[in-house]
Amino acid sequence: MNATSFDPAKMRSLLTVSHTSGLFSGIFDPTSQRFIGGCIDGSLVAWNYPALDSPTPFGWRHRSYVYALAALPQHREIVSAGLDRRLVWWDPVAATPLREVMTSARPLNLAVSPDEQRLAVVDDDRWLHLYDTLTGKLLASYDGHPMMTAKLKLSSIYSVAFSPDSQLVATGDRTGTVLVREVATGKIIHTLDAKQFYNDYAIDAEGKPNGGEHELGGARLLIFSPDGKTLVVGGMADYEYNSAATDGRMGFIGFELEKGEAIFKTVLPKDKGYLQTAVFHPNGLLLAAGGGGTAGASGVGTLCVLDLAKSDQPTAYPLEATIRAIALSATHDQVILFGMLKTAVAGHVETWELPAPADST
Amino acid sequence: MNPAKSLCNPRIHSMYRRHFMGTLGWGMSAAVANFNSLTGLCSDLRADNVRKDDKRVIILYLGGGASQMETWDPKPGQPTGGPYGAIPTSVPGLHISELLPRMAQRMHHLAVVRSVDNSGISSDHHGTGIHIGRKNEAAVQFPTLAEICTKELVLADTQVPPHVELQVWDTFRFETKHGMSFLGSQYAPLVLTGGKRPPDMDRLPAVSEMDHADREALRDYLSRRFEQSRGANEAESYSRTNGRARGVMACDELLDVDRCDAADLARYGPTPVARHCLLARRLVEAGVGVVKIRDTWWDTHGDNFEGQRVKCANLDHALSHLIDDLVDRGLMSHTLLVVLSEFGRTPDISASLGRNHWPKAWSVVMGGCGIQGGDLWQDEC
Amino acid sequence: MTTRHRPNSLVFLATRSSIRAVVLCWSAILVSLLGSACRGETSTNLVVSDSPSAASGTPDSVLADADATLAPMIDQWISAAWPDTTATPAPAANDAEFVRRLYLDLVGRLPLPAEQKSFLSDQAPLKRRELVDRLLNGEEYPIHFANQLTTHLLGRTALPAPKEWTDWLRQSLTHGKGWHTIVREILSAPPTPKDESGPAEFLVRKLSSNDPLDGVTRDVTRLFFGVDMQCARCHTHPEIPEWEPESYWGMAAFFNRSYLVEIDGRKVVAERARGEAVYTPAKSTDKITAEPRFMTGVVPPPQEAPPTEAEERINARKALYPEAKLDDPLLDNPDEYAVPPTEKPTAPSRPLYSRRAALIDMAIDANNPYFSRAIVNRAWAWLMGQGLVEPLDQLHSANSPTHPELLDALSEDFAAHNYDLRRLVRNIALSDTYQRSSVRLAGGEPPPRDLYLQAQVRPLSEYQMAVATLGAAGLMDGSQARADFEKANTDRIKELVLRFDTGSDQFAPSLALSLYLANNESFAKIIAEGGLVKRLLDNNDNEELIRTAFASVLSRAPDADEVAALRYYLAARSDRREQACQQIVWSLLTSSEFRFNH
Repeated sequence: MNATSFDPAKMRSLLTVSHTSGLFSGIFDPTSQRFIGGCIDGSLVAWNYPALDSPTPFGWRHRSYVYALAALPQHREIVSAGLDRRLVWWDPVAATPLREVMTSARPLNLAVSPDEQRLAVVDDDRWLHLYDTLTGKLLASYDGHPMMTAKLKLSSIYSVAFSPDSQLVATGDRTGTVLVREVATGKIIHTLDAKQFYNDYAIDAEGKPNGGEHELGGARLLIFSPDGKTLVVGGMADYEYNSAATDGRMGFIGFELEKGEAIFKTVLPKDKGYLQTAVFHPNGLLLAAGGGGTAGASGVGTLCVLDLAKSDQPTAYPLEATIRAIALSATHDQVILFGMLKTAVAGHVETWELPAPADST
Repeated sequence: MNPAKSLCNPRIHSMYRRHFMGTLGWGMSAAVANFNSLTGLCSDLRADNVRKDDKRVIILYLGGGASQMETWDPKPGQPTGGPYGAIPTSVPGLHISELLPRMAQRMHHLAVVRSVDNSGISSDHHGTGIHIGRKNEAAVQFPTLAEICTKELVLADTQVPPHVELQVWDTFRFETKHGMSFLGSQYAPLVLTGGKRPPDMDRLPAVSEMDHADREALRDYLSRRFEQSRGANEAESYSRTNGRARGVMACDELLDVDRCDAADLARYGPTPVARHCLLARRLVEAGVGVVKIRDTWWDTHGDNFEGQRVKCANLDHALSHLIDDLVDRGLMSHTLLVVLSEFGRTPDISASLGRNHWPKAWSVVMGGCGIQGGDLWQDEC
Repeated sequence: MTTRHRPNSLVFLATRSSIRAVVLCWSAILVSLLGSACRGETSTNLVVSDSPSAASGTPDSVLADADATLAPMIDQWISAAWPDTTATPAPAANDAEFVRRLYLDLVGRLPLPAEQKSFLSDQAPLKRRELVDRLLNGEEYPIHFANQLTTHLLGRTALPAPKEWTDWLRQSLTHGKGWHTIVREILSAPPTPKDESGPAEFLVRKLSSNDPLDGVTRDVTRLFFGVDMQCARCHTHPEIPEWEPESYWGMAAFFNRSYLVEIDGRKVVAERARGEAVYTPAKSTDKITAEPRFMTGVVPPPQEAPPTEAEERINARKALYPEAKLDDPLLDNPDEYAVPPTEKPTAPSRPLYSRRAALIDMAIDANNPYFSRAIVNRAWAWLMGQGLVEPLDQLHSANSPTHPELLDALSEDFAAHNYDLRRLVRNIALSDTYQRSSVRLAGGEPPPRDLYLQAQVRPLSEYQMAVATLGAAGLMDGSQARADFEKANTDRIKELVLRFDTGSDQFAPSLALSLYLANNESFAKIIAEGGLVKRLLDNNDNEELIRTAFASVLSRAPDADEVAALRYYLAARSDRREQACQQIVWSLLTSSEFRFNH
């Protein structure tokens, strides 16, 4: 009974659970048919689907925040990246670690190619490393992102994604530069400009821009459309007030891959923070989430739906929690959001129903 | 003189209560139990001795509020400790954040105070609290610590400017600009913003070098006649200061970071904070008494871990080179180096990954001038 | 330590057997007690010929002047404090010294060369008094003293101040409005049309600060009553037990109900009928509600208990303003107001019982010694280089004046004569004490300043310096009314005020200023285009040129050495005479002699 479509206007929150540690990453794991989250205390934890009950901690933990998770359904494994410079492969059913690989810098994100041949890991030393998904053997390493931002800070690569045919890999950095490469050769085929998400707007006491040192942002989200024709980049844009908090507004830029040109730029009118995570529904709608907030405040989040054909009309649902990861259930009728509520130590998991449109029932 | 006469004048209030550097007397209460090495310093280093010994001060001010957890006081494994680990340092038992790997190898030159509490004097950027060492008051412009040091340490007739402030880039927006203090403008810093030279350093083309020098000699001659007939100190100090303008102009090269040694420039690299650390070293070598480097935008209310990491990378590089140079050139024995912010950042991390302002317990490091490297002051808990 | 001799003591009578002094002192007091009615009669008794400064241009004239009875009294109290009869005061300033000093002090600018010349050549015996009177009654005295008061009340860099404030202050001084009326208008700050909003500027500024209550309390206490009680905010003063937190907070309680509202885009002072100043003393956690109390301990008539109001009426207001916070003025009982607070006010709220009005009624009063003494002490400092009490805002029991009787007498006279600043300034300016030379006395260390044996060398204020610089450079030639000159040069004055500001009431030179003077293009332009250089170039004779330059900038004639030095300077630059003249003017303008009043 896989849902093939849903009505963005009718989405509603289903279940909400809290967790003793903030959730930085999360997936739906087809192997164990569970939701699995990665926490700031280094642990992995699994919830039953769809009841979202019986949280089960994994038997070993990273020594730092679990920044990213990915499922390897063909191999019946999952892989995690922690800021302790480790990549760890796990048996998701037994909840036990299988192997680990140390990395040279702090891994900030990872992605698995749809054919499950390659694991791409990006880090704060601006490397893209390609590993053999199964063995963890390092196959190739690519640099090429600018080392420093316009304000002479060291840049990092925040986001990575494979194309649906597994032929291309895209990486996005702090400066808003996105590189699209051929997986086989490492050759850069596009350098895309998402500098809208690099915010260096600073104003002086009189409110005039002063070209100051302040900066925030980067390309935090990358995802290819299911047809492989569009690359969507997400982040925070229109940062008008340099409060040193992530209180710009969430934005998308869509690039048409044939020519490497931007075809739409959409900024949500109210929703603050980084667009951090996204998933395509089989019906072609993009479900994305993230969060941020005003200086001194605890943080808020947003779940939104973008139709690439009508990119100027996103549907947005404000959330109390700040979202780090989104995943689609096996039956495509639910999304699950992983994040933090008010404070980073308070994990928050939330499922949303994706009701079918009235005419399709 | 009646002792009560000036007692309640808040201006004087602030001055005589403190010794030089008054045991971190900038309104901070540090853990006193382990303070032996510092109290020794304070009782010995009265201004007169200091003057004789030709001491210098470099203050590296991390404006906006560096996070103690991501710098000198890591708490890995704690729920609020953040993602970064602690690394061992050149001082056995002392660990600092992994974001400062180069500094970790040099901690034997620095003392760390992890229990600074300035909650009584400032908790937002608007207060100039940490600069003046007390709560800001609407009607009185108190001198900054740097200005007090300038007054106490620096001989008035140095050829170089006695007090230079290097604003690394912009002025941090939320920080009130410090006005002229009641000590007077002669102790106020010569401010160089973003590596730019101070204004009015160039002789106007309409005045030849010879005429510029001669008219100055004429001004000096006329002024001296007046001063001799009147015996007024203020008139003399005005005249002497005007007489120093040409001396400062001669220091133009000194104030221009681009004219530093090419090897030094390459070593320090392109970041503003590093270039200004290099400039600060050159200035103290040349006899400038007090240099304050004002770095900005440590104010990470959102995305703290990324924000502090990129700032720390630049700090680690800049500060470690500065310390190497101070040590290699024998400057460490008579140059006090202080690294501080207006406050630290909260242990609590918001869901938007921000740390907010935290004046209650944060860290300052300092070294040089006889401060025992490797000392650690913190509350026992 | 030597015993200080008091004029009314027996010691005094024995050592300085001058009946005249006693007569003078008593007559001055009599004058102030009896008021103007008997002034003429008293003064006729005072004509004496042995004025202590018998050097050239002595103001014997004073003594025939009914309104100048204070001047000789000043001299008597001052000389009475000299340690022994061997103390030798400096001779009177010569005419050139005097005319520069007087113009700077009374009208805030340098005398024009023509004005100097006519004064120097004037043979009239009363010419000093005539000049004092001409300046005090001219159009420039109100301008300069409005500037002085603006600097005093609004801050050193407040000049040029808003037009409404300046106009009101100048008008007030022109018409001899008493200081009590001026302060009353400032503190009452009633709603007025924009044109007449001048006096409200003070409270609007103070209430706009970050910490409005502290700002206004501290400044009102300091500026109008001469007492800076800042440290009593938290703790009792260690030496002055009467200065306790209650004193500071008692003053604050007069202002905690005052606030600003915006009407027609303009900030206006409003006041509430209720509301308390609450404080926590140091080392305490108690919250204490401050009672309004003047710092001397006097309390205003109490406010009646609030009228009881029907519950429905209170709730109706709450319902009307659902957004209002608990202490919003909109929720106050309108019965307690002459003009109640409203959501979009057309006039600021005015309570039936105003704490600010209570302060005005209590404090601006002849029985309040602080009120007169604060401004008298400050005016003295403006003309003499230091206050009778220093620091100027430490007018408390543990900080005695250097000449207590003099301060008392001046203050009493001031209160008895409609708090007339002009009269006060006139008397100080006519005194021998004021008119002494500043040239260093022969031999040894200079005498202590508070003996007033010689005139002080004192820095020009930022504003005096700005106007003097522009004037000396030739931008002021007498063809333009002073007000027009200030208006036409507003931007230049503003820049120079900021440049010369030392950030302090203390004089403090700075390198930034020195570099500005040495190399700044706009400063060079003032010299190049001011007009003086052009006039100098009209002189073919170098000596005449040098004399003109000295008269224009330093208001005096050069001596032979100076002429020789400048001749040499010019001769070496015969190929670039214009630049040479600019450089000479620069040297004179940046010399220490120009920077000071002496």
